[in-house]
Amino acid sequence: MVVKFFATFRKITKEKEIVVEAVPTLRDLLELLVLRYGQPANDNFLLREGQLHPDVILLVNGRAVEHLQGLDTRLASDDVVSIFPRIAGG
Amino acid sequence: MYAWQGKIIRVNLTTGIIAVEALPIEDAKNYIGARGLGTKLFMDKVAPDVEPFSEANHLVFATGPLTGTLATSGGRYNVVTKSPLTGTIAASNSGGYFGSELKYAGYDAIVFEGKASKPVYLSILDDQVELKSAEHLWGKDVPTTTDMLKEATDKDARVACIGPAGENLVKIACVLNDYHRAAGRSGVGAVMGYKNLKAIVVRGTKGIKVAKPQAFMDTIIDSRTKLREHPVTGQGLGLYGTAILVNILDQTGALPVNNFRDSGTFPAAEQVSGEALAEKYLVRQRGCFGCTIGCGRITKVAEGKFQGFGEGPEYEAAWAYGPDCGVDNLAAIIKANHICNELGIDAISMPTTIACAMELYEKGYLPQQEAGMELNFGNAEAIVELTRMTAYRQGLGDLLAEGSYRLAERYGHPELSMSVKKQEMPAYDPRGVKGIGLNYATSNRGGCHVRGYTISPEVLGVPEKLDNLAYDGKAGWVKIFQDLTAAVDASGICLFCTFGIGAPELANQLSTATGVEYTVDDVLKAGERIWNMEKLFNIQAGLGKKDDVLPPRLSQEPMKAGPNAGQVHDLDKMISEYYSLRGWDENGIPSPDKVKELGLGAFVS
Repeated sequence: MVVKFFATFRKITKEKEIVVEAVPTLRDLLELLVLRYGQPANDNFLLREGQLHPDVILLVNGRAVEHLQGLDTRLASDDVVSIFPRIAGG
Repeated sequence: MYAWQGKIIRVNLTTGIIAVEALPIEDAKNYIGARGLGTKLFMDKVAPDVEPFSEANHLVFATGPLTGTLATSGGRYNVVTKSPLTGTIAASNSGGYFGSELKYAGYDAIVFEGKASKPVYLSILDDQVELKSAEHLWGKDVPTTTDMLKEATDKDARVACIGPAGENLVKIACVLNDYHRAAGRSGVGAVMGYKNLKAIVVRGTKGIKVAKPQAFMDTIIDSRTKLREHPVTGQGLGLYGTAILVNILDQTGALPVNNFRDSGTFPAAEQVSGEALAEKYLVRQRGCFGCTIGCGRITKVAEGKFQGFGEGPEYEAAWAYGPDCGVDNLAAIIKANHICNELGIDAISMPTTIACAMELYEKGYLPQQEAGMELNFGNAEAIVELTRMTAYRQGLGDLLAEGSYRLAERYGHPELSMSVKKQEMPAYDPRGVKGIGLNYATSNRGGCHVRGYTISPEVLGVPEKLDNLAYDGKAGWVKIFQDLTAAVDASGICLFCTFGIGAPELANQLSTATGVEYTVDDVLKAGERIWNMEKLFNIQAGLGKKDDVLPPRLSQEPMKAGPNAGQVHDLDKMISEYYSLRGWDENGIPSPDKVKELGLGAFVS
């Protein structure tokens, strides 16, 4: 699957997108990403106390995970996961 | 009187008579200021059926009580008139430093009546208020006009003016202040041009008194702390500007492409994104008066045919010149945006009108000989050239100057204008974000995102995440966002504050500044009063339920691809509930009880 990073997260990941081997759920993916990018990312990157960090916007194939099964959302190999910090504008 | 200065300037451009009047204090309390008070001052004197280009139409510049104070991002003012584009009430909001300076000169608002026989500008140096000849400024662009007026008065003076577009009665012309800040929408610059009013230059050296200085400072520190600690207002907007939204709307599948014709994703979104802007063209960020957010972008294209230096684009312009015109060249988008600022054109309606022309051209309705060029989607040179031509009404620009609706109507296909009430919709496709469609349809000035920005909860999850594809409950969200926004606009602070603070903080800021006790309910009630007042104007101007609609494409043509493939927008699922929540009848007319509750009886015929 393709994982895309945006805005300030690119300062942490140093890359815009990566291809990841299939993982069963979104939680597994996020744990993988936290491991991959390591400290200091852990404190403000994706997860907080095992839950989705409130300042993260997470889309799977364009759908916000709040409207899917949250971190238990099942992932398929052709999914696109988009990860944003909490942003706004207008 | 605290926070308000207590004085308005009334200028009759026909006779040249200038009067300074007392601000009606009850109106100030009930309508707060800026968009609210400005509209009240306007509606007290102008009949809703007034011809926009006539001496009887007025043009009001109005600040809010928080404008020019230490309030959060408190540098806003509004320009109110009857719009030549939409035929509705127009209230266009701008930041920068002009509004604050007007307060420091001792005034809350300026009302222009009539029409000057020759070009003039209004000079305000504290108590010295004069009309002066602007014949030497006529035809000059915004930066030149601004420089010349500062040179002629005071280097610290602030200037609001029109460019050639306003002079040429381009119906999508705006008023620019402080070089780059625009009262952008609904063609308010064209009314200024019709009145032969080139500019206002103001220098003020007085202060603004607040009622409870210590309590005011305490609440400001509280509000500013919240803004600093919020990820949107404390980090994202400053680093990337509003164009940060390009990628998330693209990934969400709600980024309109090629005049809303194609899918809600743009293959080259990354190339025209806020991230790309920051990486390649950003010189530095800039804030308006008293702003800690700093979303403004100072940008430079160093070389090539789109070379230039200026400000922007914002998200809306980046989208409209970019994906909506099928253009992936960010340098061209920046150049076109700079020209909008220099010549005084709305950087949303201009590019979306070009997008409409491109679709008319591709469908064969707009012949190449009339277009004067190949006008396919993706033509980067065309967006720059047509913007310039529109300001001067040259060639096809003369038709684009009328906005997309009149353009498409001329070629027999008004349905290809992506507008509501003849004003072009901004950068969010309602098929992929249901609530924003209801906001567009019911906005009192036509297609507009900053009347009720439900993108915030529907896409961005602020203050909480709503399902963008759900209809249920959206009517209530739209109403409360519209009411709160009207109150924010009226107060003189920037709408962007509401990403980090809400009605309680606004109520505290207003109460401690003015000495008038505003509760949260009072703030929302003032917003509702303003909304209904605008609505009553529009009804008497001849608009009705038939105008509270979206372009037929959005209900008839499913999105072709992307996350929202197959989606259409069904306004009927929300609009009756919305009218009911507002206390309006099934035709969208405010009930007698609602009119009485809000004290708006004087505006019912």
